[in-house]
Amino acid sequence: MTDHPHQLYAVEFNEADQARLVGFSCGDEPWSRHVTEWILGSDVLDSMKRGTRVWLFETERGETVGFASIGTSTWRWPPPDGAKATVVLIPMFGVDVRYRGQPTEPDWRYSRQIMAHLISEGQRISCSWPDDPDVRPQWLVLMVHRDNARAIGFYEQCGFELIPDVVRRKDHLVMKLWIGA
Amino acid sequence: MADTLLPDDPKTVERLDSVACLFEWLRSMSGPDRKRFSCALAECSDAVQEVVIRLLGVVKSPRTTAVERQRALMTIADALFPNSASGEYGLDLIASEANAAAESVPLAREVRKMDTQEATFADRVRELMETRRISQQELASRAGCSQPAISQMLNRTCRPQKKTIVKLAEALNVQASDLWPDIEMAEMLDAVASFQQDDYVMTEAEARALGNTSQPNRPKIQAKAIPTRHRQ
Repeated sequence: MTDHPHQLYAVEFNEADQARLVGFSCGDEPWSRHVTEWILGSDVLDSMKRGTRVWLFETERGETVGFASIGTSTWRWPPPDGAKATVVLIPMFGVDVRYRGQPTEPDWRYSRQIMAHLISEGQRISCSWPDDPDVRPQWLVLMVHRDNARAIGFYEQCGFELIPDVVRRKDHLVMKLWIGA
Repeated sequence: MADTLLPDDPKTVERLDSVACLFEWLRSMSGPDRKRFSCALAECSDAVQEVVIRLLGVVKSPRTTAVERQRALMTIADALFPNSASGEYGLDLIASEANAAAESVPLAREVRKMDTQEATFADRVRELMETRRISQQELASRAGCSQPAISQMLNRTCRPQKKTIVKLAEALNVQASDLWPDIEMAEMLDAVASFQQDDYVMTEAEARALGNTSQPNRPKIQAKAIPTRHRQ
């Protein structure tokens, strides 16, 4: 059985892979440049030290289309509660500007394949959470620049919802998706 | 004799190889191309020169794929001729098929960092000159460089050196980071790192959104793991 011609393949990222990424760029918009910088610089490595998983995604022919990452974080409910709440989060997700909007078949769109992968991975993390079900992470969250309309639209198509009235540092909005049972 | 002159240090050898490679490449070009190429190389900053020479240096690696080679050549073309995005020169370089490889990450990173910042730099300087009614000549004399140098930087035919940026910032009475926004990039990356920080205390709005699990928004696309490939 042969795969669909637009099927992507995931390669677990490690530091040596940065050499493969010569010429990789997520675009020149102010909110895109640091995405490129993140995967090419030390930030990705710092994030991996905290347990983040990172993949490169490539075509059948081995061309790198993009990358994505997923991890967990322990947040706290506001006082007086203060209890811990684990969330699954997507620290960074980037598609090379040369592969944006490709291929044209919506079901095989690279960004969509990658997000389907992240959601599947998020659900897996949630399902296999070892401790009692009360602290099982049930939300997948991500941060997006408020001016990055394209990304916000895409995340909404995937099911994410903006959390109202929340602005994180440097004009970033937070979006959530339910990955619990 | 040669052995005593050339230290047997792999880095030095590698660098000499790279320089030899550069000469070879230059020789393969037509006269005017050669001139344009060497001018561009001479004009760009030390960091970029280093990058180009190193890129050429990793050249001979038989492990280099055609795609990697093409990307490396584009990176070089881009580094030297930031204006020719559509790439009259880039295409020449690719056609000349000299050789090149792409094994050096820091250099690609360095080149890209400069690329994205350079456009901003030219725009900001031009803007400041307009609002303050400063001519190229005047700016040149305040910053202690030549008027043609200013013109080249504004037209992005040569990349400014860091010390020039600092001098220009002083001359225009702004922060260097206003002209070269590396700082901004660092802030964005900081924001990403802070998003992952443990023990972050949610705001009331976040708590409301994440605490309400009665009608959660579920995925609108089918979750599906992408098949994994392993590198050797």
